[in-house]
Amino acid sequence: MAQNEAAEPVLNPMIFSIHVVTSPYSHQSALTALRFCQASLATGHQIKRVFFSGDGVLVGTGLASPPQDEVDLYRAWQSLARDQGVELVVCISACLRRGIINATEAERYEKPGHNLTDEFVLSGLGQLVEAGLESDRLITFGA
Amino acid sequence: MRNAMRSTLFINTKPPYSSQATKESLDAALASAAFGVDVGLLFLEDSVFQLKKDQHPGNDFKRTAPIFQSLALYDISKVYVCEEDLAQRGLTPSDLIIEVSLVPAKQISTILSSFDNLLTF
Repeated sequence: MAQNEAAEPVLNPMIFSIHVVTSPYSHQSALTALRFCQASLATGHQIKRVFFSGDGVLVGTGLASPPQDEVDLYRAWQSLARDQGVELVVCISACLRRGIINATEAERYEKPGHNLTDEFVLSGLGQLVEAGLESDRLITFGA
Repeated sequence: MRNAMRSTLFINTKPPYSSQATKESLDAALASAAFGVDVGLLFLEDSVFQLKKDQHPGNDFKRTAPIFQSLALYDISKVYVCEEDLAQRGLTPSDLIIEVSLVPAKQISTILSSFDNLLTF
């Protein structure tokens, strides 16, 4: 569906959690995950949590500048968190492997900088497990 | 359904050593078991090589054999392997590091529908 298409609210709202495992711009599924969240919220469903693991955590960087005439996945996720209150969690061990860190981790590992944007929370796999337990559906994108 | 005891099937599809998939899947499975989730593992396609005996990953990859062998300690006993995928790769159950249930491809869907959550790695 088009991004701005007005959708009728559904009769039986569900609670979804989303698991994203693919890096932005490598696979269609990175965009599909975002569109699924936007469409779910537009139709009255809830997104309990989006959990990024593996290469999926790369979307947490604040240093990317995609061309202006392309979809900006980074900004799109950030605004989903800011404007719609969607909880975005990045897997901490996946992040540390790939150099996606916040100020706390930069200090802990004595790194010269940090790049994780404020909209993302660094946490562990327990957050993925809990999301599965407390949602009607847990959907993986990119596996 | 929510908040009740849930079951999760971890569906593996990737071979070892081409990515961190083996380790990531195991980490998530053990974390789930620690939360009291009823955990199952399913191995499809090249992921059956993850279970092969006598692997020598050297220093580039963590050895996952000890983790597979300790699954029972986490009460993870449901380990399914696609029968055809195993046979296609010239392997038999005796080549595998742990005891598994062989599932014909046609019955995989029955396994999938017997779990509340599916996570693919």
